[in-house]
Amino acid sequence: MEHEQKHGGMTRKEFLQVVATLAAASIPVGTACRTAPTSKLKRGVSFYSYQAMFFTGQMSLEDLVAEAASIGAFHIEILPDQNIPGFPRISDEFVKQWQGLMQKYHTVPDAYCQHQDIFGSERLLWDIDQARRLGFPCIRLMAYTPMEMVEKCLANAEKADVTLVWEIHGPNRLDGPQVEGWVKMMERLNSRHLGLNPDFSLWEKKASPVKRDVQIRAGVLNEKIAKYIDQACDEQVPQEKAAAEVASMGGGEREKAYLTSRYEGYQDPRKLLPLKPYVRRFHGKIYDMTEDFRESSIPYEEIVPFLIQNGFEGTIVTENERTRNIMDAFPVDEVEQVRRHQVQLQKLLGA
Amino acid sequence: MFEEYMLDNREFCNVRQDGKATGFQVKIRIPYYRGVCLAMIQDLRIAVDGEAFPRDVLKFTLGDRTYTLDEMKQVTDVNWGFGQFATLTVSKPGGLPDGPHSVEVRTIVATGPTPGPTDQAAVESRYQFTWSRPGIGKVTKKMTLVQ
Repeated sequence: MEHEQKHGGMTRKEFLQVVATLAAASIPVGTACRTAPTSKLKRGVSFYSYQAMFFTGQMSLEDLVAEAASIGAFHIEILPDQNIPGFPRISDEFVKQWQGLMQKYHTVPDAYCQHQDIFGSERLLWDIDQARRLGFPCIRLMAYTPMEMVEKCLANAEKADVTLVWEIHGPNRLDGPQVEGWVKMMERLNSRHLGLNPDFSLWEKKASPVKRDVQIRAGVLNEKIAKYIDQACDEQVPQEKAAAEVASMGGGEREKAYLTSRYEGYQDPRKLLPLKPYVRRFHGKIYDMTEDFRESSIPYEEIVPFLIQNGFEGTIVTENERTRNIMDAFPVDEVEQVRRHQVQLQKLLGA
Repeated sequence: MFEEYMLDNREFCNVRQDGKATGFQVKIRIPYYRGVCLAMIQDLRIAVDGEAFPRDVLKFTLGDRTYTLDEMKQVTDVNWGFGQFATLTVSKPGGLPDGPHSVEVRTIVATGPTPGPTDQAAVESRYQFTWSRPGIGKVTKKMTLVQ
């Protein structure tokens, strides 16, 4: 793939964006204030969302791309070890097929999810090369991918023009030690090929019955206690008081952990602001999309406007986490769930 | 996860050599959200009508390649693909009688940065709450063998 012409370390596109920003900055303040900020966030979908459809052969890779395009989720994330038949071999023929699909449906490769497994930096270097071959600008790293390994592979990522992003997934803390470590490393290395990928699981504000009930069915959580915890959390009973009540009801370690996950499942989105220079994209987690286009536990209607107001850029790709929480007891409904989420995102992003 | 798809009754049959049944086979899929290399299949077990078979009588076939469970531990460049059927063949002289059988299959996919436990008690405990660890699957199915 031809690289774009560079302007002082920037691509031509970035250069033009800077010029446009400078031009916009010269507009008198009063004028600018009357204009609502426009979203620079774009919609996409992770094919993780359709895992049961793909696993059972009900939808092929082309079916997934066609479905994503039909709902305007043009930015595509794949799990290569899920979606590429014959992985870890990726033939030139497959690369051609993939490029053909992207052209046919006007979709854009967004992220390639890397899994560390047992391979170390050798596999990461190989994955960087595969992401480049398939046209992915970004590799999503699991949080446990060691920083030394990423640093070792960075030169290759820069050469391939592939950005490596660590996922920040709840219950990891936006202001916790792991994120702080990543930020220090990114400050030190000052590379635009490193970044962060927050997941909307950082903002689980209300109970998610889907996540809770699978644990009740599995005999992990006591139903009465779990439901008390949700009620107490929603009614803002102080955490210590609720914990004492859970203990008196006979709750054990698992109920305690559930209580913590509920009381600490929502982080102040303002904690994301210091990370803004590093945020490249988001996972739009869903567990349960209602018929009126809301996620039962995650307040997208609050978080997305916050991101727009603060000028966040990149993609929000739907990551449907419902399947693993319901498939023991209910039919999966992946296509419909993603569609509902895309309607919600479309409304919030205005595009 | 994907436990309901893990064990399939298609092609459940005795395998024969020189006209004699030497064992039987079942078709299985990975209980995980992606494929992993064969070396990451930490545990794979089968029991039929309560009879558990030792690992050294099992063979795992993907496409046209067949591996013993020990050989699988060394294979890092071939994945048991997501949704891909593998054939598990069990040596059992005489095979299984025709008719209904209760077949149980268990698999643990070793995932994440740390190797999983290898001692038996720890492995057993991992099967307890499979919801919390995708990649761990156990399933029992009634399957009819046709001679």
